[in-house]
Amino acid sequence: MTDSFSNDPQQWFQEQTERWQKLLQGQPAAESTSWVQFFNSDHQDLFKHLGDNLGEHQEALMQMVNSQSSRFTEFAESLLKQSQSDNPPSQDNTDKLISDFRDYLQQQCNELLTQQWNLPEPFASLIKKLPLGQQQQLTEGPLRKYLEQLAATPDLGSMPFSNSQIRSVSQSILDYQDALKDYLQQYDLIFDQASEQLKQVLQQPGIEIDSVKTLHNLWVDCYEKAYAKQVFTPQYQSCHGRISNSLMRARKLAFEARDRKLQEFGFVTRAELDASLRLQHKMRKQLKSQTQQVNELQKQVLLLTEQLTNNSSAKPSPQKNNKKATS
Amino acid sequence: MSRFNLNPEQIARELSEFNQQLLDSYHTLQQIDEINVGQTPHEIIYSEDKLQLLHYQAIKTPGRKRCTTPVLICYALVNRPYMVDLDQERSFVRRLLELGIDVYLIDWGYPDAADRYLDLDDYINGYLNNCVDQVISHSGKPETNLLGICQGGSFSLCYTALYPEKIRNLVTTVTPVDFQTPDNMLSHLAQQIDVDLAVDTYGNIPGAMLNDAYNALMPMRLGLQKNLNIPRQLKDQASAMNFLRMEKWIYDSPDQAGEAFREFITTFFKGNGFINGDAIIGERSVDLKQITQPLLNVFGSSDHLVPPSASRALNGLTASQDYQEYEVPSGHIGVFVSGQSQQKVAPMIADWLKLHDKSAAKTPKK
Repeated sequence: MTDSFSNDPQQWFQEQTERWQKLLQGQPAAESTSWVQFFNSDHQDLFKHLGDNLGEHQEALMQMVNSQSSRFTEFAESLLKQSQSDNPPSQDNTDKLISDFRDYLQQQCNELLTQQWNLPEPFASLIKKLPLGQQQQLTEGPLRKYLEQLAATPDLGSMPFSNSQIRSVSQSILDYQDALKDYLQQYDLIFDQASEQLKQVLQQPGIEIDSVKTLHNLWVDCYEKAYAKQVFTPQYQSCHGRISNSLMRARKLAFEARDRKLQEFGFVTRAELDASLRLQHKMRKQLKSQTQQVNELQKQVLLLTEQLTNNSSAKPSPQKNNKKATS
Repeated sequence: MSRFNLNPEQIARELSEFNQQLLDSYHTLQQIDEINVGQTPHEIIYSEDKLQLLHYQAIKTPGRKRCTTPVLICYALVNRPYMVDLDQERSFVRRLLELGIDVYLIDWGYPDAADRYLDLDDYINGYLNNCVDQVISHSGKPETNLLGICQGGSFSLCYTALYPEKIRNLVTTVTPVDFQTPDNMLSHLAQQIDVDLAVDTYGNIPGAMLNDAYNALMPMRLGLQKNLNIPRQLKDQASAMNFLRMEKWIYDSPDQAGEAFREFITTFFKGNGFINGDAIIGERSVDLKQITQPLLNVFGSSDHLVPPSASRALNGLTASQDYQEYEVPSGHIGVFVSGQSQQKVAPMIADWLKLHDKSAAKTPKK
């Protein structure tokens, strides 16, 4: 362990421990630096070389762990405060606790979905980057109306982009936004069902939540059951298909727009590169097939040569016969 | 009635333990230089384009019966083949070598833009067929055993049906055969995806996109729950290396050659080609009734990627008179990396191969 590593993070941990002790004793405790804040602050150089040891994915994974760990700590702290003021908790507070827990997880879920289903640039710039749940601009409001107008624009005069291109882009973004809205509704349903399931499980004898980890594990079981049930419905599958396909259509349009620009500047476009790769592949196939035929023919020639050699060496030599005859 | 019994001392203790583990995990990570995988000694006996064919020599143990016919492992195009040789303790390949089986392994490599038009004909009639020829030539045996993993199992079924004379015994592991069983979540999700649009958009399908699809099968368990357990997994170097090797493998996902991907999804996921009997590779129909070899079908009882029902559908589809199933109490990957696998799965497969090795002494076919 390096000295720098042992000092600062341990100091951070010491401060956290003191803060939890204060909360435990019901004393006011000042807000402190979360782990993710600590990690991303000027202490980051302590961890700089980790990137050299770990691959790109592991680095991204640890970023995710940092973020989720801070959220876990934050939620556990809120429970600590709540349990101080409500011990044992009432039924109302139990419902509130489940509701808070659900919100805490759904927020993280939405953030992950945002990353997974983010629109490609340049379209993403049209929509202010907000967690998905808050992204209402394109389901209603002036921007949507404007896009709808663009999508319905008739061909008039000459413009840097053709009307059909503008229509395609506008329609693509609208389709994506509608698909996203329906997709998120599916997740709302899953979270609703998971919460209900958790409440039902808590009614069963022998089930008791005595740690935050137990609560997490129980939630995961309930969530996965609710999720699996929903995924097998035609509604979910349709929503999943629509969000996947609409996002791909938007990406394809973005690539096509890039291609048009490349073409304007005299560069090779992706379509041209694809055509060349297709031809290259066809020729590679032909070459392999011909090489195989040549190899087969070579084998046959070798076999025939061997047979000829064997035949000729098996025949008695005419000279010897002659000699025998003369003697 | 409330079932919450969260006492403040317990929560404070949990917070402290969790954050201490988080801190320790960074300490552990600082001590790790490299995440090594695929360390069992081997030689590369054949290369073609991005493909490499690896040979692992069986370990000679006095008194132990060896299998005279080698086994060629055909891995999936998805992820990397070192899953069968993660580390010394979790090496399916190493166990087979110790049990007297000579192993060949196909490493398909990482397709790039130049491979965008590779199709199933290239993979099965081309690469796989060439690898089989190389194994036969290198080993000096008339045939080879073929062991397919997941999508590689589907390839192996196609191959054995097309070239039955080259295959002595066939082992399929965690192999999808019926792609449309009611419990197949991945297939249900794939049905709505416009695969033509996907290939036209991306060319080669990004490996990361497939990882997202796999993670979407159990998002909370493979996301939040796994991530919150990571500090515990990284508590010491040995445990961290186990975890990181697996993580490295999971996210080491080659892009998929566009045309092959389009064809595989269309023929199998959407067309259910084995069940409907209309799969075509290149210009040849795949008739599973051409498979008369002894056939061992291995699957995981809790496989969420390829449900047991998808694998077990193989029963009765071939003309094999010697069909056997082996159910492993594990998930998709556990079949190869779990302790159970090292103790039972590899020995079971090795014993089966030895038992079905009797006619291996016949002379090579011309």
